[in-house]
Amino acid sequence: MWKKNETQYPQPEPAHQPSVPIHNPSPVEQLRERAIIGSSILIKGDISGEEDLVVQGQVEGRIELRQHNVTVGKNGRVKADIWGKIISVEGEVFGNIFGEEKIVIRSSGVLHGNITAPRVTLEDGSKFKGSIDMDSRQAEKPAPAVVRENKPEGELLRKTQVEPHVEQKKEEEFKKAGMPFKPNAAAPRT
Amino acid sequence: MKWLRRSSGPSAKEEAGASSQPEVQPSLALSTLFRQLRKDRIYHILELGPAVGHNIEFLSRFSCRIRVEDLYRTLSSFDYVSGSDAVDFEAVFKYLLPYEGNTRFDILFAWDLLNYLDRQEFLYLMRHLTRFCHSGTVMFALIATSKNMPDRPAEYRILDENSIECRNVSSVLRPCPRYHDVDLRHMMPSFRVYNSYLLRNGMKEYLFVSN
Repeated sequence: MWKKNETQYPQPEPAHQPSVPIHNPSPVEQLRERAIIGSSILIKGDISGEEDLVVQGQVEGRIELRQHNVTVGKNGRVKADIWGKIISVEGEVFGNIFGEEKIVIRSSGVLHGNITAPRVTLEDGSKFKGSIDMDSRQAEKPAPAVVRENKPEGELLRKTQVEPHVEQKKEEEFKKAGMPFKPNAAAPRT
Repeated sequence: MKWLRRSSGPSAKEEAGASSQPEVQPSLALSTLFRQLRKDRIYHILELGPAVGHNIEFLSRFSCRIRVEDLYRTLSSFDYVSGSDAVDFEAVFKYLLPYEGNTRFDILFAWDLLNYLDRQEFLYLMRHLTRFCHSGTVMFALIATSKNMPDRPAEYRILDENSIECRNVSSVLRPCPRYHDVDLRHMMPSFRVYNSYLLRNGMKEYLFVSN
């Protein structure tokens, strides 16, 4: 009871505590943090800059915001190659996209083109046709959008079943142990 | 003509509600394949089925380049040959799957697509793909062994290294071509069967390796 009442008293503020300035961005500043291309806007040409971008309209050309996020909104229609940090596709994109960190194709998203990014998420319902390059070593350097030559490094699947020399070795082990050899049997304990 | 007999893509109704409960199947073939993959090399993968987020996410643990084709959907909406009965399948696949001459895939995921191709289509598709395979390229395919099968390919999700989930996108059934090993050998002369396992749902999963 006593303790409960005590807690109701206002606590004195600690003296000489350095006050941390809290910066509340104004609406104008908030808008500056990400540019929005409205649904009635059509841009033909290249877009580059130092802030995030949301495309709700149409863009034809090239979008290059390597250090910033690019979102193609549900109404957005882009015919362009896109470079960005995190690229999110909710609308339609016809072109290749290069994500420094990640690319997300949302359930409403449609992409006809190639993806290069270390991480790729395709949500259920999204439509995608093209190639996905998830080689993180290549992500920093956008590669041309073609499947490059891959020199085969031998067979992917090794012949593990019934290799003659393995069977011979096994037979010798059985003979040593004085047991009759049966193919596919486990090796005898020696 | 087969190209025109196919329905022109799934209707909204079929896409929305025709699917039955997803079935989880253990996959020994995929398990064999994934055990062999190394993390220090880049794999070129050809996905002949649709882009499935689960599968892309699963494969992202390996360095890989995945080419997604969704071939069944492409074939379904493909009707430029209308009016002609003489289909040049070689030209068709060259047009639909245009890769550079030096492209070589390491892994092909066909899933259940091959059941939806007639013998000619099957033969020419494999002939076309062989050009982009090297010795040791692996193909994963599911061949239906039951009398009937859904009238369009199911969606398969790789859940983990040992199991897949099958989601039928259509409840309508159609007769199954029931390709046997002899047929497969004939239609895929440059591939050999590495292993095969019968699944609970009547599908036989195969790992083929190119010679």
